[in-house]
Amino acid sequence: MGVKAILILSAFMFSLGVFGILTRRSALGILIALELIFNAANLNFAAFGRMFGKVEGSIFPLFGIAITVCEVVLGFAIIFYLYRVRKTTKADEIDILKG
Amino acid sequence: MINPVLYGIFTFLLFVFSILTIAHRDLMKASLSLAVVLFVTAFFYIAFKFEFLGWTQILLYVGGIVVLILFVIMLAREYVGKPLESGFRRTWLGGLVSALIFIFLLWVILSTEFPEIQNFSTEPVKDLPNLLLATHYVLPFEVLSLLLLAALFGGIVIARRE
Amino acid sequence: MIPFLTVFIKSVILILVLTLIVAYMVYLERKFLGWVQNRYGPNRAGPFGIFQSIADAVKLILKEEVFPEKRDRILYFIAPVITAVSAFIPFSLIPIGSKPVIADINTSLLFVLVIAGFSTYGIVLGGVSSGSKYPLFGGLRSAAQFLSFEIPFLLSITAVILQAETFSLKKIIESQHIPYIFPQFAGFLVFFLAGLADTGRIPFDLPEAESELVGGYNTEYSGIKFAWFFLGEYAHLILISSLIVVLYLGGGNAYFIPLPSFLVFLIKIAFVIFIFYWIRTSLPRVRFDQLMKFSWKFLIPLSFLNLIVVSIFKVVL
Repeated sequence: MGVKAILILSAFMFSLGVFGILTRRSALGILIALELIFNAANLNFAAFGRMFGKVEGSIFPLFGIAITVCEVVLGFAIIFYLYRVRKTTKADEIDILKG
Repeated sequence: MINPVLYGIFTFLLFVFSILTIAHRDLMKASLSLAVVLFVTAFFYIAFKFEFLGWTQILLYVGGIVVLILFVIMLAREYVGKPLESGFRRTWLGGLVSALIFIFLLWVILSTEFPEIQNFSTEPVKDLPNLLLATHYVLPFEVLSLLLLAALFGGIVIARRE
Repeated sequence: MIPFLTVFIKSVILILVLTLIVAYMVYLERKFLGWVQNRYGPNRAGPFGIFQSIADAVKLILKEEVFPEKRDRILYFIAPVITAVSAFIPFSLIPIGSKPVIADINTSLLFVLVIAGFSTYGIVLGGVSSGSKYPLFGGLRSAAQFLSFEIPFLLSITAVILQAETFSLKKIIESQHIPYIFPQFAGFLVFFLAGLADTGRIPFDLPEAESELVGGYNTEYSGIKFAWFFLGEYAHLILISSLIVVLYLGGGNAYFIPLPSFLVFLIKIAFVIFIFYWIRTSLPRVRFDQLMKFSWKFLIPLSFLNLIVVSIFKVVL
């Protein structure tokens, strides 16, 4: 049960997140998949921190969490704005740059 | 570093619920699966003795971000009038790309020699505040608070009705 | 095996005692409401109506359950369980008297906050899974209310952690040579109001709002499932009041009066709960925009101010 197992786990989560981003139709679904990727990265940081016995390993995930908060807030604000303007939250229907 | 049985259970839960997060058509269920994934990850952190990180993860992610996601989904559901669903497009291409990424990562991980796990010299929960506020990490910490403020303003400006 | 067994027995006793306390809390609340409104309150079941709550519980258990047609099977079932369980688990770590009932961990404050935060999930899921309009509105309101009151709630606790320099509830109590309500009165005020919003009681009971939303998130629940929600709500009220006692009123510290610490703790909790009842009898429900304004424009700035003042004092002294 070393670090390798955890790394494989987080690699699995990461590629699932990539799959979600590439294939989801809804912008909300893409944001949810993005959370999964962030989580995988944070898990890696923590695992490496544990491996070297350093407390620093828990600082980067904390920063990661805070950055995710920003990302979610802005992402949802943009989705709401798009919904008001275009009446859709499907990412593949928003393909016109000019209103 | 973790009790093998617990590790097995955690891993199984993570596998199942991360697949559900991506694959469930109903976005409400998908975000609830995301909550489970984040919750289980927090237990990994606690098992690594990063207790503060683990509890913060649950407090902010599960208690904050996922509730926000649920709120948005419910609001969208109110607009649309039925449960919010999301289909998939280009499934084969996306699957291929993500499988390639996974195989590449797997190859990197398996072909690398990792050092043995070392013990902590100090207790992480007590050491963390000092590290965060009294060493060179204080600068990124402050920049982060600026970023949060900017995100707050940005969110208000974008979402505000004219 | 023995520690496991003792923990198990202690947990069962704790749950039974809490359920009994909740039953009599409801009875006393109704009596108090009656007294304030110049009427008798429950007085039929037993002398002074003291068996009223038990009769109510039996009625709820025996009642036929009605399920909405468009419910989501899993979520509809899980929601009341989450509410009740998330309100019960934290009590294993709350130091009633001098030390916690079941377990003592270093980060017990964080644990309690984390688990208590899950009660919102119960309410939101209950609202969503019922598949009808009013519960959905209740869940929506609950999520928004939780998100905006969680920030001042956590910020006021941060000030306490800063002053006590520990995450352990037991050590926070030990560090209060004077109760934190005196040095941090603003923090106490914020915590009290945000906690009141967290329990979803009357000035802030918008998720339930009988007069506008029928019953909010629990409109479609009946029988034993409704009882779970009810139990969870009252257990959450006890939880918030015991957190207030632990964080701001010095826990089981009696200071000058020679009384056993658990008795002091219970008296303090009873006092805080009495204040909650008092507020319930005297105040009307706030409007939703008033609620949001109150949180974002008053509580959050106040809690930041409190945090800044506490940290300045911490540095200077």
